[in-house]
Amino acid sequence: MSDYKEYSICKDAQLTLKKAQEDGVETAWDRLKKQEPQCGYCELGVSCRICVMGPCRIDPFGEGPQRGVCGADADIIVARNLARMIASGAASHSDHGRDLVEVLYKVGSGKAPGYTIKDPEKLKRIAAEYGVATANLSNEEIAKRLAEAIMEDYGMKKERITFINRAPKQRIELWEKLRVIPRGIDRETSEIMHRTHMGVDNDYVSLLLSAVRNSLSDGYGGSMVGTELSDIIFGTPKPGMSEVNLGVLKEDQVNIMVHGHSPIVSEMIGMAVTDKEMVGLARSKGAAGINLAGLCCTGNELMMRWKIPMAGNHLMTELTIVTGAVESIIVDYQCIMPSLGQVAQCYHTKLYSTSDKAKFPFMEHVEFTPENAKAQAYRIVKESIENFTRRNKAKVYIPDAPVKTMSGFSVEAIVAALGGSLTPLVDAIKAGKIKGAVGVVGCNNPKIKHDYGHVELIKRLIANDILVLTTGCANVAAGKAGLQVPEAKELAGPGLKEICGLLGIPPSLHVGSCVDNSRIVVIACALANAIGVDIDKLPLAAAAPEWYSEKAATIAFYAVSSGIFTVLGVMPPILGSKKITELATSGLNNVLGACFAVEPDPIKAADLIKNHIIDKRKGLGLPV
Amino acid sequence: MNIIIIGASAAGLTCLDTLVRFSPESDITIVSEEPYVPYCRCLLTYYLGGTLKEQQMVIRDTTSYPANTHFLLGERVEKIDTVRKSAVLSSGKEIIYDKLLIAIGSNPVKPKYYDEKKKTFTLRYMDDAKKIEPHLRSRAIVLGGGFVGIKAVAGLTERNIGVTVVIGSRYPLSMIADEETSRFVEKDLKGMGVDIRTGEDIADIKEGNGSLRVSLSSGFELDSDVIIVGKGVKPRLDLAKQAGIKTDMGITVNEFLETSAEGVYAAGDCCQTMDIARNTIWVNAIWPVAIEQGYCAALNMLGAQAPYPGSVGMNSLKTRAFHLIVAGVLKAGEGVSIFEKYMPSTNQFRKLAIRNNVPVGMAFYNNPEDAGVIINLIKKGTPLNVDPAKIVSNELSMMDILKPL
Amino acid sequence: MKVVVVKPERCVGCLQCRFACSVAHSVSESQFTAPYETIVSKPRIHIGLTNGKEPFPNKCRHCNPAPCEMACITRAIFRDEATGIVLINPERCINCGMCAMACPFGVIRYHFFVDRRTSAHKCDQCFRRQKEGKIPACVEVCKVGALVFEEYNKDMDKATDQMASLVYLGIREKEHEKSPYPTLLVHKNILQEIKRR
Repeated sequence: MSDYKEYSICKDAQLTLKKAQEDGVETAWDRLKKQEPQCGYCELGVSCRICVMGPCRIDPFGEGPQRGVCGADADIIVARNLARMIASGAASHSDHGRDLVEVLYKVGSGKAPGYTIKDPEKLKRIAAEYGVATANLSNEEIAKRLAEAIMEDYGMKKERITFINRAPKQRIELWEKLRVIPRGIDRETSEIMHRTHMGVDNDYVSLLLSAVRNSLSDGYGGSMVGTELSDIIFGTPKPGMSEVNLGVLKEDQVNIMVHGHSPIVSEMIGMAVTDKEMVGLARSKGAAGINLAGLCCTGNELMMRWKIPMAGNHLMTELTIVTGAVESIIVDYQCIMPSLGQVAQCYHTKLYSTSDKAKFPFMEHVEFTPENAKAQAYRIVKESIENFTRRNKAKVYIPDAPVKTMSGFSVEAIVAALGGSLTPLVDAIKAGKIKGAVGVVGCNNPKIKHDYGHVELIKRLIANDILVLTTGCANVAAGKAGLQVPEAKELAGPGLKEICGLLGIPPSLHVGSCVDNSRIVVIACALANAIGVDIDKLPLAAAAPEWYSEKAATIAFYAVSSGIFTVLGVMPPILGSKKITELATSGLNNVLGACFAVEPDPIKAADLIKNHIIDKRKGLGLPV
Repeated sequence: MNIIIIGASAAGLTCLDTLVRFSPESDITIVSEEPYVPYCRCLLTYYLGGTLKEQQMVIRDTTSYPANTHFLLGERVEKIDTVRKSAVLSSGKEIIYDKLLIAIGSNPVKPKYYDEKKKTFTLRYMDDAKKIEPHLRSRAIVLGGGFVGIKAVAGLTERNIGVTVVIGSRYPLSMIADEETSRFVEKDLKGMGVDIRTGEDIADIKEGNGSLRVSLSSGFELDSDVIIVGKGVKPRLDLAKQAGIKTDMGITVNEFLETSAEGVYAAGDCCQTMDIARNTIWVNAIWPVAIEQGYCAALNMLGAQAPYPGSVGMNSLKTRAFHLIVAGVLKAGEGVSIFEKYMPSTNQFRKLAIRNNVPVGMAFYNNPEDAGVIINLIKKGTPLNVDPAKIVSNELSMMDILKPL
Repeated sequence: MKVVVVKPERCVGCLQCRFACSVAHSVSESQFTAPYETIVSKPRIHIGLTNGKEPFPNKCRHCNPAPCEMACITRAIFRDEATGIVLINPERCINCGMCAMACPFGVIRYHFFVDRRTSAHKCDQCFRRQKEGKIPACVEVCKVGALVFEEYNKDMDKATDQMASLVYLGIREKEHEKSPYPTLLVHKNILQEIKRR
């Protein structure tokens, strides 16, 4: 592959992959090749390592063993494995949320220098939702009390988590009937780990329903808490312009990157790089300034709030180092490949891990706590500036120029853009100017041509007057393809083009990071309540064309559990069980009002979604 | 070299192919009594069963041989002159040989009441099958519980013909398997709807109304459209005796498959050799043995001095209901120990006979696909270095058997 | 000409080769749909367990001469001249079981290949895949190098051919028994002699 067009549709990826090969750097694509062909049993989900009576596998061709040592058949094994995937994803998002609760509490106690309440109005709104009195109390006091109330959501003290009440009442009734209302954010994850232990839950329907509950404890729990508290502490995003792709790196500046998820770390770095003293130090080292750029979700957070540019998504993380232009990457947790340290060995880039929960080979560990975060941030930025002198200028290669992208579409921003309520959007949907809305979310996966799944799908959806909301890595893909600027309305169908032109918004809206998928859920709930139906009647869909992580599986689960048809671009490990596959791809329609589909080809996926939206519109009596 | 091969079945054809391969300049004449292009007689029961057409039973393309190979089909060799070293055909023609192979096979045994006019036929030659076919309607009797008989039964049931098997012994396959193994086959055959009558013989056959009224020795009477006889075969000794060549049960040969007449060899059903499993001279009248002997005889004709170490009797019986592979001897006694196991969950039965740590017999009933491994050991007389109990429990330990090899 | 060589000491018993073999011989050739086809494809490689619980990959060695080919009475088993692969034509197979009796390695099995007809089957060295320029599925998937695709090496194959020839000719190894019969080596010299003449 001399031009790497088979690997990615992005020029910056293609060019840096070439340099990576020349520099002798191994990338995720290389490692996938070596792993292929991957274990068929695991791909079908019929291998089990839960206990040491095993490891066991079921022969899907009927000749070898049909049951594990404990007697579990393919249905049980697939269900247990799937449930554990959901639990892991839910745990990740919920832990992210938990860290923000901790910061909020410490802000309230005055123990978190550098962190403030940037959106006190939202603080009061959320407090009210939690039943926390706000009259005559300082923001700090409200913060503390709210944090404590949310901590109860995490534990055993409540009968149900608070944000679940945002769902339309029909949906809540359905969940109550299925007994999947989450009782506590941590509790559900813990119970899955219990249920999937050998000899506990051995009914695949029961396991899947508890996975539904666990995913709801993430979507309406951990993730939502993460989103709302990040807005409270760091500010609710407002629309504005930013840039995306490797071209955001600057040859003449100190390039510092943040990677991972929690704004707790990246916001502090953002604060440090704008400090006059630091900028001065950079100039003294011969740099024109300090350039902060983001990767993955923490990059999404910074872009949403501060319009900090993003250098790339999941599969680009190794390639940013290959440019030779990065002084440091500061990571916290989730989606950080352990290979980064190895890649950085070939270059001058310094890598820092900041979370006690996430340590990596060849990274210096500089632990951040709410108390010391600001100081640690300054320290790291200083070291990064000093690292600028070690840059080998001859070997710097920043391919391509940056692409403009618009960001910052929180729910509040969308409502504001619509003039104060969702009614114009509802009217547009009813009239058929906007046929429906789709959340295109999720990661990259070297099994799908990088960014191709996202971009092709979004192009076709907007061409059919379907509004697209992006989060996570999909945002970078859409941004790089020029789909997230108001000018992209030219690529949209006539109805969507009109609305975008009126409001000055792109046809594909950046809604945030992966925990911000909860924003999409909030919009769905709000639309459902506005029209007076359950979410599953709405012309909505979700797609994760290039997903890789367990977190994505959990998000897909809570989307379907909320009644949103979800299309996956990569096959999940469930085909070893015919029953579960049938349930997931059609049976769930009768249970949750929505189901999954698997379609790696984004062109076909677009058709699936389009037809689904037409069906839903017909169901509501809306013109198609 | 001038070579004559009498008989164009397994032994004769293999000898021919080997000679053509190693000595293409030899002038070879192969004579077959039957007018048909060489076919495999093992397939006749499949022909009767409707699974194969006549054309599909052909095993050689007579036109593909070199110019110095001559096929004489439908001709009989009347006599062999070992002094003049010639063979005289029924047409009167005399052919001179340097080497001669007698591969005339065996004849099916006919009971005393055998009468083709009473629609009673043996099943060995294509002509037999053609005689039987028109009479196949709804009922048939198979006389004899040997391999040919049971294969005929299997073939006929394919055509949904109601079959009654009349067996002289107490259980079917008594000549090739032990009682225990045979009982499994018996049960399966009954399950296939076959009527099995043991300890019986045919007493009388009456014709009438286009069908036969048959009475057995026990007095039981039944109707049938045709009777197929599978009562075993006897080596054909006529040519050898008439030429003054030594015979016993079959034509006697030395370890190089040469008969008492110099330059005359014998192979296949007509000759007798050492049976490795029985450790005695025996005639194993089966197709694979004929092939082996044909090959060996050819090598020896060419002066290779390749000794034939003996044959092993073996049979594979596969029907829709079961698959049985037997080989060697399965009777206990004289230093032979038996290992056996029945596995009810898979309806498998395995039996192994071992003498001095060397396997001499095996019977695998159902899922016998790895039988070849054991048969190979029987043929080579290789001692077993795994626990025989494991083999019969279907825990065949391949690495341990194959490692030293 | 390349052949699949088995290095049994490296096998870890993961059974990936069986899985890949089934998938490669299915209609859809996709691991996600192969188990659900009407006629489920069965693997042609078998992993046995030794006494010491070591796994042993057992598959057709495409012997030369091939005992199964010589035993087959309908000539359903034949050798592809170009590649040397021994193949079974299921259309001609009458399911008689002679090949299973003849194979000294026990690698032949019987499975459905259409509707109601069963046929013998064994490893076909993935000749269909090789035509497309791919390597045999079992080799591709084996991560420990227990199955490799290497150039045909006469010395390596000696054991296989020896065993197969011995089966066919019934000639005994000298080591196992005091016997006046010559070993295969001597016998092969005899054959050379004949050829020379």
